[in-house]
Amino acid sequence: MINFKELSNKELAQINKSLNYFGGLIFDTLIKSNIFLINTKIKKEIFLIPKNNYEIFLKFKNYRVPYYLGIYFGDLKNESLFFSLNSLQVINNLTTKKIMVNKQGELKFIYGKNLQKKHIIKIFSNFNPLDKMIIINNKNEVLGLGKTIYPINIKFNNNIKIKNIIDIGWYLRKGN
Amino acid sequence: MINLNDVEKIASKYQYSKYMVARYLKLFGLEETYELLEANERKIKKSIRVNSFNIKPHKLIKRMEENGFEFSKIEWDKNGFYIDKEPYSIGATSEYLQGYYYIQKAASMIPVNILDISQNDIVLDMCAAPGGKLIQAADIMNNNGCIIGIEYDKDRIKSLRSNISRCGIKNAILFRMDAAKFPEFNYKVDKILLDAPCTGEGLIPFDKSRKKSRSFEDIITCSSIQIKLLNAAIESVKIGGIIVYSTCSIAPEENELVINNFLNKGKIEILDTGLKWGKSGIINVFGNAISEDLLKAKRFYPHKNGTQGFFVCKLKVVN
Repeated sequence: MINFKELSNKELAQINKSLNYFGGLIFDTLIKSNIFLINTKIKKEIFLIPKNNYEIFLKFKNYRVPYYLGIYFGDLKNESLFFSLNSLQVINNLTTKKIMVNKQGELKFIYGKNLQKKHIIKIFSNFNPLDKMIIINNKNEVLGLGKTIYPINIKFNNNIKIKNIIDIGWYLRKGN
Repeated sequence: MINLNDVEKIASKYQYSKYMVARYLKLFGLEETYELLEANERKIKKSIRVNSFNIKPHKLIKRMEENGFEFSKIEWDKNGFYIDKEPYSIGATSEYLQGYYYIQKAASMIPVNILDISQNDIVLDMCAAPGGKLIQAADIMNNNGCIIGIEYDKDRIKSLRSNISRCGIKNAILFRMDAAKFPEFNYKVDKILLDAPCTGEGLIPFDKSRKKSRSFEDIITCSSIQIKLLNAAIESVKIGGIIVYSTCSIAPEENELVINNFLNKGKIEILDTGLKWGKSGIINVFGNAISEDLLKAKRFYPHKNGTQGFFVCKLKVVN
């Protein structure tokens, strides 16, 4: 009956590996004051909960399964983490795996569309084909997660096509 | 005594159920009944509340004004703003998607503001969806402490989850359950918000169908649910803890009479809200006198405050 539980070492290692792509210290930073929980009721949903709230959760867990707690961090699928919008916001300031887009790119992206070179303002690191990156606007606000089709380098001299994986427009399209 | 001709005439003119008009005439008299019904025909200003843990209110307002929006301050909430000009939907802006604000009715901002929340409190929100008050509480707590949110309705709890995700709330634990059963957890919290399910009589300016869609039996049904929920709230808060009870109904049976039911049991006392806005609670309900302490409760009306009809009462559990 209890769906929320602490992650196994194997599951934690999978999350660590997924986070490691975005920055080596992110996982350690997060687990200093939070705990990862997994809900396996339908899929493997990962939640990040502050340690003090985890203690409160423990007092309830024998009576009733929570519907939601802390922040939804993503889904664990095929041994890697599929990041949620909330988790991207958590890691945004801890990573250089991101690309900044202009207003036109922002609107396109939050409507679920892909991005091209003309939408890009700044590239923070090099990317190989199929690499993922956080898409931000010119105010460093998270718009979502993208995946590049071609290699991208900071010098900007490539053909660029970034596929939309998830974007904040989801809250309007499906959220309510 | 009320004049039955007045009831017929007014109910027909404004398209209300007759029993509602008869009640308004008894509660408010002829002149104020007209004022209320006229005000119910007018639009109530939309409003937003800025999540100040995500963005400073003045920064958000400046940003949105650059996009053509215009705002004015809500007196009772430093992060609350009426929308004076809305060039496109306030629910479809980039700032909304960033979780910088929640679209919340002005009077609905009052209960959290009088709950005296501290950053490390454990707060119970007994009827939490769609999340406005929970998000407001999280904002005041700067995303610290813990808010336990309860919602029974399957669809409403989905939108609650979506709203708290969008706004970046991390200090909430949500349960899908009947809030009246919370005492079974045997867990005492510091503060409780009970924005009880009600007939929504105060929402007529937003939803004209409510002029006829609710019967007197609905008021009685809601009242018995409200009594059950308030009883559960009293059982669930620490001694000395605070409960703020509110509804968007103006029916005394859903408000003053619910509170009055508990006053003579010695478990709660009514505290002053500290609000300089709103009218005092009603202590003569259709000819029956109830506790004068209920004068400390506050009522908001479209014709007096430009808000939806709203009731709020601050309680302290003493025993």
